[in-house]
Amino acid sequence: MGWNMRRILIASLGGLLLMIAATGAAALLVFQRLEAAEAAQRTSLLDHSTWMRRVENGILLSGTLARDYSADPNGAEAPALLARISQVETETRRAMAQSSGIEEELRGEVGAYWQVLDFMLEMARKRASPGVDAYFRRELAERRESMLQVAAKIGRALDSEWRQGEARLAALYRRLRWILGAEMALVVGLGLVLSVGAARRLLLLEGETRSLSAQLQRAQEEERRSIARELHDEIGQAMSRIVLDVGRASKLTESPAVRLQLAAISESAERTVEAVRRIALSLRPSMLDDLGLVAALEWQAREVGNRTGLDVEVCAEDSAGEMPDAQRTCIYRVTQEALQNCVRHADASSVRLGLTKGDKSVTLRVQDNGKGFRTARTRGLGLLGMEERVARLGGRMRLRSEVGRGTTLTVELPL
Amino acid sequence: MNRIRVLLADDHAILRAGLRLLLEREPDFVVVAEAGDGRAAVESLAREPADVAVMDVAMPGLNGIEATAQIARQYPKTAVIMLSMHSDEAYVLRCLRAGARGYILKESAEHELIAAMRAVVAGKSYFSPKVKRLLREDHVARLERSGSADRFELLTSREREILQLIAEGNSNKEVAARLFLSVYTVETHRKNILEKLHLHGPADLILYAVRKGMVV
Repeated sequence: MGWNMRRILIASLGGLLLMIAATGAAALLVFQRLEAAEAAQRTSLLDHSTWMRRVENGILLSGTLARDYSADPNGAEAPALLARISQVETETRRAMAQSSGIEEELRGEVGAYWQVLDFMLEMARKRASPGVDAYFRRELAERRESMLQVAAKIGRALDSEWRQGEARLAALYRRLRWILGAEMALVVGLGLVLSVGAARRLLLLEGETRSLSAQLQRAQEEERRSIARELHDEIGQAMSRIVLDVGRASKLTESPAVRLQLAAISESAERTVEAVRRIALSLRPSMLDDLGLVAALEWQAREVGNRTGLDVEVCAEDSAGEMPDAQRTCIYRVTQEALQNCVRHADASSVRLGLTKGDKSVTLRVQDNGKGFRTARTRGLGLLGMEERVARLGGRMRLRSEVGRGTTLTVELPL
Repeated sequence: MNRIRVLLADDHAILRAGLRLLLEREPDFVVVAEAGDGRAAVESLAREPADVAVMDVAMPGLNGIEATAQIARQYPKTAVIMLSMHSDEAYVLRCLRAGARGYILKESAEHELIAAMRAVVAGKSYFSPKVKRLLREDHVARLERSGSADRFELLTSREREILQLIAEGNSNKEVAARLFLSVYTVETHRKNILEKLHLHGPADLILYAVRKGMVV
C-alpha cells in the first residue's frame, strides 16, 4: 500500500470518527439544553402559580375582612380589621409586583379592585350610616363576583401558560429529533462517500499492483528465455564448432604431443557445452519452446527423479500441452513449484502429474502420497506465488490435503 | 559410383560450414543443399533430392522436429539424422516420432556423423553412444524408483528376437525373411510386443530398444 493510499485512508477514517464524535457531542448539548429549558419552565410556572395564588388569597381574604369590617365599622374590632386589610393589600401588591408573568389586564383589574375597596373602606369609616352600609354591602357583593371572575381568569391564564410551556417543550423536542436525524444522515452519507471512494482507490491500486507484478513476471520469463537461447545458441554452437575443428585438426597432425593438447582442448570445450546446457535449462527449459509443455513436464519429472529419487509419473497426451505461451509457462512453473514442495515438505515417494485439456480449459493435477498438511493453517510463499500466477490468467487453484493422506493440487486455466 | 547426397539444415552458418568441411573429406558424400531453417530445408528437397538430411533440432520458424515430420511424409526416401545439443529422452522420443532415423549430439558430430549417415542410408538407426547410455541409465533408475516390474520380462524369446530386429531397422518383411515366418505372423508379434510394453508406435518401440541396450 502506497503512502498516498495510507493518507487517504487515515483522512477518511479520521474524518468519519470526528463526525461521529461531533454528532454525539451535539446530541448531548441539545439534551442538556432541553433539560434546562424544561426545568426552567417548571420553576417559572411553579413560581407563577404560587404568586398568583397569593394574589388570589389576598383578594379573598381582603373580601372577608372587608365584610367583617362593614358589619360593624365602629366596633372594637374595627381598627384591627382595617390594619389587617391594609397589611393584606400591601402583601398582595408586593406579590403582584414580583409575579412578572401576569397579564396587564389582570394587573389592572386587581389594581382597580383595591382602589374600589380602599375608597369604600374610607367611606365606611367617614360616614357610618345604615344607607351607606347597605350600599357598601351591595358593592361588596359585586366586588366578590368580580373577584371570582378575576380568580377564574387567573386560573385560565395559568392553564394556558402551562399549555404554552408544553407546546414550547414539544417544539424543542421536535427540533432535537430533526437535528439528530440530519446529523446522522450526514454522517452516514459522508461515510458512504468516503468508503466508496477509498474502496475504489484500493481496488484501482490493487489492479495496478497486479498488472505490474504480471508485467514483471512476463519480463523475467522473457529475459530468462532470451538468456537461455543466447547461451545455448551462441556459446553452445560456437563450442560445438570448436570441438569439430579441433577433431579435424588432430587428424592432420602426426605429433602425439599436439594431439594430446588438442584432446585436452576438445574435452574442456565439451565440458563447457555441458555447463552451458545445464545453465540454460535451469533458466528455462528449451523443451518448453521446442517440444511443448508435455515434453517439458516429462523432462522436469525425470530431472526431479534423478536428483531426489522421487518417482514422478506424467499422464498426458502430447496434444494436451498445446496452448498459448502464457498458459504453458504458468502450468510449467506451477508444476515446478509443486514438485519442489513434494520434495521439500511432503516427504512423498511418488507423484502423479496429470494434464487434461477440455474445450475451454486445461487442468493440471499434482497428486502425491506424502504426509499431507492442514491447508487452512499452512500457506507458504510458494503457494501464494502459484495462486498469484494462476489467478492472473483467470484460473483457479485448489489444494486438497489431509494429514497422513497426501496432497492433491488442482489448477484449472481457461483457454 | 553414386555418391550419397546430403542436405545440411542448421541455423548456425558457422556450424554448417564446419560440417561441410567434415563431409568434404569423404569422397562418397556430396552436400547438395544447405538450409538455415526448417521450412527452407523442406523446400530445398523439392529442387535437390537428398539421401540424408542432417537436421538441427532447434531452428527458428519451422523447427527441426516439425520439418522432419514433413520430410518423412513428403520425401520418405530421405533419411533424417537429428543433430542436437540435447541428450534428453524427451527430445529423442519426439524426433523418433517425427520420423528421424538417427540422433546424434553436436558435441560428438565430428566422430559420429559419417558413421551415422552410412547407417541410416543402409536402413538402420543410429544413436550417439552417450544418448544410448543416458537413456539406458534413466530407464533403469526409473524402474528402481517406481519399484514396478520390468515389462520386458513379459516378452517371449521369439518376441524379444523380433523386437531386436525391428529396432535394428529391419522392416516387417525383412524380419519375416530372416526368421522364416510369414509377414502376417511378424505383424501379430509386433502388435503383442507393443501391447505388453504399453507402447504406442514404431518410434516408442525403437526408443524402448535403445533404453534396453538392444540397439548397438
